[in-house]
Amino acid sequence: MTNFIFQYFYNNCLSLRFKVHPIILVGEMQLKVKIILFLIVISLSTVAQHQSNLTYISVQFTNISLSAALSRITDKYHVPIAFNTKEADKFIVSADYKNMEIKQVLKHLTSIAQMDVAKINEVFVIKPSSKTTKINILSISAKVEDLCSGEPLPYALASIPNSKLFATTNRQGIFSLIDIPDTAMVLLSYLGYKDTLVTANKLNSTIKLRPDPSLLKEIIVKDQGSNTIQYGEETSKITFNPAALDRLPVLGGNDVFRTLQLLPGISGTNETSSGLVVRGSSPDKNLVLLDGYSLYHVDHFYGIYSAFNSKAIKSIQMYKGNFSAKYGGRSSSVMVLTAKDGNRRKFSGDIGVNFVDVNAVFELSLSKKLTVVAAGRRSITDVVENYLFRELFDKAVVNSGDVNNVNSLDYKELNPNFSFGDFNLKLNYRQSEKDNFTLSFYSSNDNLSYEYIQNIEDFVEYTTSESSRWGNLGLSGIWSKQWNKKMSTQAQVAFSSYYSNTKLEDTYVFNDTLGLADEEYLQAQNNNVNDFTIKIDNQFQTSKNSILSFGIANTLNTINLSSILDDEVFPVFNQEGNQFQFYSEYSLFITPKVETRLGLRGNYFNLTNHLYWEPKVNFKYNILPWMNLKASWAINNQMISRILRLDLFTSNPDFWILADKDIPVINSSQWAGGVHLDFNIASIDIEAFITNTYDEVEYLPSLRNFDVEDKSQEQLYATGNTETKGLEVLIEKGVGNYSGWISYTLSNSLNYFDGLNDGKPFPSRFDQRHEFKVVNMYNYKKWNFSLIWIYGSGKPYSSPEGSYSLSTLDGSSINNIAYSLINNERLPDYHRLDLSSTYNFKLGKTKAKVGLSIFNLYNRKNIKYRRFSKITFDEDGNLLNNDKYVVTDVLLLGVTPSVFFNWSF
Amino acid sequence: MKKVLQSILFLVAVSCASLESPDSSLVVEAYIFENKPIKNIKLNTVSSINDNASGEQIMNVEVYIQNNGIRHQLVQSATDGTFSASSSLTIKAGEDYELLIFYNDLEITAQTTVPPTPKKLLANKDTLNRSSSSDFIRTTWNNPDSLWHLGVISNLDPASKEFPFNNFFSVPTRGNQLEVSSNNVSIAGDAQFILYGITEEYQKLYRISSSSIGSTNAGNISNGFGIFAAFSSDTLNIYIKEN
Repeated sequence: MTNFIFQYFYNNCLSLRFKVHPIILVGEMQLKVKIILFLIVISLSTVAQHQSNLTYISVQFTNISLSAALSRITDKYHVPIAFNTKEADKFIVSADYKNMEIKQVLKHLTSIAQMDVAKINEVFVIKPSSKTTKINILSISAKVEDLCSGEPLPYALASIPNSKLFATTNRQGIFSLIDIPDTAMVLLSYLGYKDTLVTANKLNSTIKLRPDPSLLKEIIVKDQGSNTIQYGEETSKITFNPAALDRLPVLGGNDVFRTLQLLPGISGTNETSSGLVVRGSSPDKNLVLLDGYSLYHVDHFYGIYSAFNSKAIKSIQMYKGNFSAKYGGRSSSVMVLTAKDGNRRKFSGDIGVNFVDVNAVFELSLSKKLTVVAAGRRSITDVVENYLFRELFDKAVVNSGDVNNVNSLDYKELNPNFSFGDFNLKLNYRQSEKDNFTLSFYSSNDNLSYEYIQNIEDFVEYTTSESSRWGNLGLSGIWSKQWNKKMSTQAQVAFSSYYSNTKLEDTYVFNDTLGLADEEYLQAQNNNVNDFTIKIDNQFQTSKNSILSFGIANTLNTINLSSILDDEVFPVFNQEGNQFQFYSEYSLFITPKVETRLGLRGNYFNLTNHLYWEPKVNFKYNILPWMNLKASWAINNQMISRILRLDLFTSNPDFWILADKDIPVINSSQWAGGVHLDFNIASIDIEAFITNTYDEVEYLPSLRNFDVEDKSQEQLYATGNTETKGLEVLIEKGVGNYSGWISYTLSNSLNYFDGLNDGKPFPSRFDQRHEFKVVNMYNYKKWNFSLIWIYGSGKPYSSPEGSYSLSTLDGSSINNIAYSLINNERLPDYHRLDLSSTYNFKLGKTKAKVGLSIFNLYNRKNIKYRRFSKITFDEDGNLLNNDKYVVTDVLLLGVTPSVFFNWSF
Repeated sequence: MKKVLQSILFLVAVSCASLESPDSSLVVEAYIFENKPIKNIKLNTVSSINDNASGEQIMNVEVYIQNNGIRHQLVQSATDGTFSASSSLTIKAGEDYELLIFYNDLEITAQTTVPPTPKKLLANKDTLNRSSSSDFIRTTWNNPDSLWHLGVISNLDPASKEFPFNNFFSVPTRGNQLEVSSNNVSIAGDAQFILYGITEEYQKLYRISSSSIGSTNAGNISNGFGIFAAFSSDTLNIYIKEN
């Protein structure tokens, strides 16, 4: 019956498939109401005449359906518009009209959908175009770049709205789409840039996207095609543009890691950037790649800052798990950073200063084909002392127990000499639109020295001093080739080196009356890790809805470790491990709504003489226009790990070690699944995950008197498994002057070590049941304000049952703490409030901003860890008859204000 | 000396340890020596960290040493609370001994094997001159199987001055020689150099300390803390000149 009525009116009147807004009904009733409404609209032409007098309108749309756009015009200007909802829902539009005649607006909007506009009795009727055009199928390929600087934009999204055909640009900003209608509209989106729609048959070889400063005023978390942070695009993946960071509260300078720590699944309560704790995994299980080279140490200043200058970074992709087969070598997560290529249009720069460092980045074009970016950062802490440095140093270094044998001292007593810095240099040479060469260089370093003298009971003068330095070096050369519209190749040679050299000396000068010779003790550790990688990645578009990626790589790691305790050298490694890796990955839209990605990676590791397989499956189902389901599973292997070593009382005692016949290869299996909901005013992302990690390594002994001849592994390492389960929720509002998000993580991480805790499971070091983060950002004229509140339930620690003493054969005694259970207690809950305000202004033709950040506004006394200290002497330096133990809460940062200034041209 | 000095302001940092987990708060210090009667076995409770009180002696407990299937009950001293065995039990090198403690419905156990007696212990001289910082006595012994040994100095002269700490600093070794340096000796007069054959568990006491993150509880007591260890020994008489 419905179809009959439908056909009747279609043939004899206008089409009944047209709808008059704003009433929306469904089903058979909807059609009937539509008929009545349509007739009413026509009969009420007088009213409509009055309403349509508003000829000029101003409206703005961003990535909404044509149907929604037309409805918005109707609602705002009370203009009757009749159109086919079903057809109009198929098209996505983005546009900005200011004082434009309404018919022109409608014509422009509907041209996208190959529709015509007719005005019948003051009703605008949108109907299928009377012109019949022959549609040709073609393949396109183009480069996407910044309109102002000419920089290519990697990982930009090129999509055909509603078709689910899309491609992402490669590192050189090139994308390809094959077998698409020449009338198709290609939507180009990139973080922090205005979306651009281009008809396929009018596509140029280069598409220029216009930066949109308004998008950088706020971090907006959206599904694909949106602004500064992309979340929910695929399982466990985040993409963001560091340019958005400067609105968030900072400690000194901006920090890319701190922004990631505000998202679910990434711990935000450790107050450090020394690597990311992702889904309960230690930071060494996160692969960090900068322009193709792996970095093994990613922080400055004992974790207070990440080692990356955010001004030198163009984009960051973070995989919290279930990463592509293209990446390997770590068991938890991958972070891919791409440095800026440089401004091709003009010389530009940015200079900033804060209480901790000065930083700058300069971009220039040496020729039409060659651009250079140089960026540097240098601490001023060794030149200009200030309260912020002293506060950070006291909290992060001295009172954390990281400095040898010095407890409850402060900055003044140590008089440290500390500095850090980093430098980025990148040359980009565009030989042609299809050939691109880049050379990227990076270095970072930290240096610390101090000396402390103490007199004990008039019989000994005790001096402790430390001299430590550590850092990274990275270098890569990348050649990118676009062979044709279907095939591209990227070849790279990358080298990175990490070094950590620490030396600690204790000297005892005895009173002459004792007749004792002076004594000197030395603790030193040198750890060097070199990584040399050759890699070729290929991407081949096998059909209009499938892509095949494949590649090979070879990584040679050499690790040297020498550790000296007094006159003994322990332990010593000279490892050389080679990994030959190959992978293939196939992405396919099985239907327009169902996307799959199947990957397989193989890794032959010579030290174990074994080939490790890593299958990966990714699935996404766009069940509704505003809802998609996603799921993934992956196996990962890790051949190199960082060992936490706390038996040496130096500042940076951890070391890297390769798996071999004694140290197992770490293996993980990751499951994740969730749903992403995208509404006009907000989006919601929910993801559950289970990660099982096998053969994790824990370093056991606290070295006291080590016999050089015995280096049996069982005395040094325990191996076991970890199971982590969790649920992550992100609710985000990304539009308007007020924006922000709420992030919640529920997780449980348990360790299973046969040789520990009687084989019973115990909470892992990074186990945290709840983490809740609220981010608020508000823009008012030239001001930006942000307010962040972070809450985390207590982390585990081992609470000892007590202490005991055992006599030894030589007449002395050995004191021990009696532990009954591992990680059996929880520290108090963590929470803090951070505030930031920034004022933007102009200096001539250049831009500047000044800001104030207050970290931990209400001075919450959060606990870093609980320490049990054995005291041999009393407060006056007198020897105690019996050792005693004291419990000390090592606190994290209290209220800490900082000021920054930035100038860009 | 060195060991004690190293413990000055020794930081005990514990936050996320990986540790073994005995279930009771009983501490055992049980040493048995080849060819010597069993005595001075101590049982205490764990000391509280917060109030720094010492551990208390354990009463109402049954303690046994089992050897070759025969269980010998130990007797607690009324004066110092230590446990000892009757003279009928002789400790022999190479034999296995098991310690059994029944306390508060708990069975606390440990095993040890008496190491072989050190062989061919010799010294290059018998007098050490403390006034010379470079003087030393080199002791040697046969150790083809790389067994653990520990050398100590025992003071035989009650009138000699003794530094408040221990007499001589050394660490367990799997080697076959040890130098007794004048710098490392803090006594004078007649003394003995005793070379102990020690067990794996005992040498771990020196190796493993629970003083930092990631350490394990030292010892070999199941369901408790502490150690049960057996020793063999050989002795050399030496003389230490002060000036």
